[in-house]
Amino acid sequence: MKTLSQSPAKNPYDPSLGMRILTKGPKWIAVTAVAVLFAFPLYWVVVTAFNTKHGVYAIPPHFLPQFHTSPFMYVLTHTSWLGYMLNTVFISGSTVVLVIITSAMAGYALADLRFRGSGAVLAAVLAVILLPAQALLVPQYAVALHLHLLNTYWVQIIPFAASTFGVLLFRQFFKTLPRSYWEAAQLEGVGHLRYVFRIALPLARPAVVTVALLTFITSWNQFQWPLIMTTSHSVQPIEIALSHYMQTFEANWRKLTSAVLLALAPIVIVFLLLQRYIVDGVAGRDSGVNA
Amino acid sequence: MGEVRLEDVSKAYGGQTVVENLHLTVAEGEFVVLLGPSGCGKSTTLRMIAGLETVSSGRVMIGETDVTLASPSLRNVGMVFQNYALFPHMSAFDNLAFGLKAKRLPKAQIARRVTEVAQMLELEDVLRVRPKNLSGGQRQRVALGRALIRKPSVFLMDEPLSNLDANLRDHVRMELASLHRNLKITTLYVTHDQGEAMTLADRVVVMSAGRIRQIGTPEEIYNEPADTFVAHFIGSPGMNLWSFDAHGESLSTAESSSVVMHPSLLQDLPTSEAEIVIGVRPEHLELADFVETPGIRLAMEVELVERFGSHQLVHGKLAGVGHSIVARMPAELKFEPGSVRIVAADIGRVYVFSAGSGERLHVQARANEMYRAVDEAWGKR
Amino acid sequence: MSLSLRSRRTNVDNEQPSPTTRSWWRPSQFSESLSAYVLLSPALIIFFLFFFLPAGFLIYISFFHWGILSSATQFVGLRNFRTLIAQPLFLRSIITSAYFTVVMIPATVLLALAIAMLLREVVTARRGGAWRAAVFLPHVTPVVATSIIWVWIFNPQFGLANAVLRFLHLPALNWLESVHWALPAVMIDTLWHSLGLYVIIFLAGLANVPRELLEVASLEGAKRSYIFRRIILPLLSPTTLFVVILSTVNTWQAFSQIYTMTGGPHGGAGGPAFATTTDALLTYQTAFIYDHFSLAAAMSLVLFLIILSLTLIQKWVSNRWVFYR
Repeated sequence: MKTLSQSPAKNPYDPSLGMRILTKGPKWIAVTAVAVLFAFPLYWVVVTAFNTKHGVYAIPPHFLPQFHTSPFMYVLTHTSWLGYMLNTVFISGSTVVLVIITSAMAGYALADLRFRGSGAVLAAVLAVILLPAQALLVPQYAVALHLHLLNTYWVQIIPFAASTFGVLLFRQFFKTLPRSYWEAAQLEGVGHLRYVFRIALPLARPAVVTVALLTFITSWNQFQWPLIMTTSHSVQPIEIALSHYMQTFEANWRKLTSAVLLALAPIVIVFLLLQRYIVDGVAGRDSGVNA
Repeated sequence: MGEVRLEDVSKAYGGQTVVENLHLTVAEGEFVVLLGPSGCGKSTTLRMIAGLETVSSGRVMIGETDVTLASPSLRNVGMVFQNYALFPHMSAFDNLAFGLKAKRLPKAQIARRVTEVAQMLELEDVLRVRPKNLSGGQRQRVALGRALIRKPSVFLMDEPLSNLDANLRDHVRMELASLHRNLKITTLYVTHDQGEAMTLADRVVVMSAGRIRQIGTPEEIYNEPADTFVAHFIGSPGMNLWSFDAHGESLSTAESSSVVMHPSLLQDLPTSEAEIVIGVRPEHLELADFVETPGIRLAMEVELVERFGSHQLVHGKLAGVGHSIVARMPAELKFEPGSVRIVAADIGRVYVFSAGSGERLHVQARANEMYRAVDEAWGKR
Repeated sequence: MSLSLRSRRTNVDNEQPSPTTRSWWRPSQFSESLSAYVLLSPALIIFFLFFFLPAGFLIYISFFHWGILSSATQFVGLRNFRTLIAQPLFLRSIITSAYFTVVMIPATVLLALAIAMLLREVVTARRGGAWRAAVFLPHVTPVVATSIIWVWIFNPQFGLANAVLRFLHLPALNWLESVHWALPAVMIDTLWHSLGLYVIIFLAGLANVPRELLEVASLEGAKRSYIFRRIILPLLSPTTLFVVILSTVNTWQAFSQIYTMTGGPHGGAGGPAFATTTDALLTYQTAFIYDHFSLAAAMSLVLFLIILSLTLIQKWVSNRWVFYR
């Protein structure tokens, strides 16, 4: 039996420190490269928008931002970007509020109430996301037309005011609430409707946050729908505006990218602050993340 | 070949020390049980031997080889997990054959080995079945088979019986014992159940809070606990432990006080010990009349009696002093709550521990000698 | 308590039997049903008005000749479809969509899985979430905004893409103005934008593979590639199927980036020589640029059926290799 004092035992497995860095290192380099690749185009917007006139058209391109702000200022002051931005904010905000209301109500009904046809209703809710969106645009336009909704704010809000995803998320959450909450409320004479909004919903904060964030992002990023359903600037969101600016600013890339920057900024900021909740909402739960 | 050695092994995780300064040598073919309450670090230690956890400092040796930094796939270790970890998408056959297939052994040889193991574990009929359709006992046997089929040099088991029904547990425990007798592989077994430890182990390693408290045979652990933790952890219920002022009033040799101790137990106490802890196992407390050479005599106020059919547990308080006492008594005796009974324990069954460190003071050694002397005297007659 | 089979199934304390059977007409159950439908009505009305009604209407109207405003419609049977098939551009658009999708799906699935495997280890380290956020960020950005950036990147003279090519001593390409490279440019943009979502989905799927199975496999002597092939991939198969189906549906229906990069408000030209005119783009143009609503309805129905069949085929084919727990 060998004792500690004897010379080191045969150890074929001990890699030197250098070798250990070599096996773990490449992974981190690869991941960082991937992350940089994904983030780079956004960085490129900033660089281009704030570049000097000469720098933008230089070959090979310059990579560092110059903070030459005049094109950006031009866009700020000479376009009605603010009007578009406010439209978008209004549309997205209203959609979020409505989605939360309708989804909470529907989610609660499907989670806790027993009623005839609940299976069919659930199937119908699921069927909505199975329908291909592009194929329905023409008949949806016809419906909007006949409801006199075209070219309004409402056509951009109401069709999106109910979300399968929202219903399912709230349903899942409400299933975890103890039935005794409802029973206590019932004794107090509270009906289902009031229960949903006064008790269940306030307790469902994680679900509300997730649904709100994801609905907000989807709504903010709408393009084809307002393109089809609206024609006047007064109700159009900022995505449509960008499409117009492609014409207006033709080859003036610094102005165009400044406009892009303006449109991107709010959503990127929201994301950076709240990315954890957003990603968890998409993944369903924490996909094994630390911080 | 299959000797396992831990040399001064420690593990810290995120600033917290999980396991500290472990020294352990497991001989070839030995069955060693790591025993302790949850969170004591026994599973972590097992996983460090398997290579599933990194070692913060120290060395892990298997045979002559230092495996501290080796990946688990190179250590030739077989392991059974608490919830078996069978591959759900593979049949029992494929689960058993997995390690062999990974090493690209020829198909015929694989089939032969699997049949061998399946026969040994009575799994021949379910080889084509997937884990979700197997019973708990069958799943466990597949897990055992998978670990053993590669003929590893070390066999590790992490609480393998805890997911089984109680009656199945006893049966499987005996199977494990006979399996070890037949195969003679060095085995390390983690559990929190002392029954398993006492019946299966050649030696027991008692751990708590990341440290080894005592290594010894089951008898040694039971009869010669190294400290108060081991003394109290082993036994069901565990040893009674009462702390006393070492030179104070309550411990006396006078007949009239509620606690009477044999003088030899109080001799030669180190002066640094202001407080000592006296320990007696509930099963060694008897009615004073029946004890020939009492090491301790106590006046117990009976509070509660739990009857078990074959025996009873009498709970009470030391009269006047207040320490709680548990005594295990034959079922036929009568104990009335509220009454005061005198109980005693044989001198060989009284242990003295330091209150500060918890270690057993070797005052006991002399008592043990007397006990053995009496024993021999009886034997010689 | 009678001895009939039915009563044996109800609770012993004589509670009301399960309300979904036979008793919905009882007063208490009726009011609960009523409440339920009241609560469900806003969502259901919206779903009906804007999803189910259009879907039904689509099937109906594609057999008619109709102008969107007039109520005068004329039943023409399959004429709309025959006109469609006779149009070479329509068939071309299907082929373009197929080409786009067939290239994108494997690329998407493979890249997403590779990135997810890479991210998996990083993400559990401290502050690892930043890397995951970086990969997911493009997905939450508005497609038009980012497509404009890509148009700039693919600019033949000053764009970054050609700068990189020149740096690698490769010939510069005309990208969005070339017949061969316009669609690949769109593919790159689409990949960049959509991978994040699939990476997240794969990450969640990977997290669902119990760590212990991987530990055991390693202990049994399997090398990492073997573990990947025999353990991770099979257990990941439901997730993989989901990603395949989802990316197929999303890719075939892609619109905004194609419109922005190769059409724009100039009338949605659909790329040099219609190189990027996909099924979805053509349908849009037919309906909303050229106002041929009947034809567009027929095209939409075809689109509907294509996607439905793709999904069903994939699901059916998958039964052999997907393992469900």
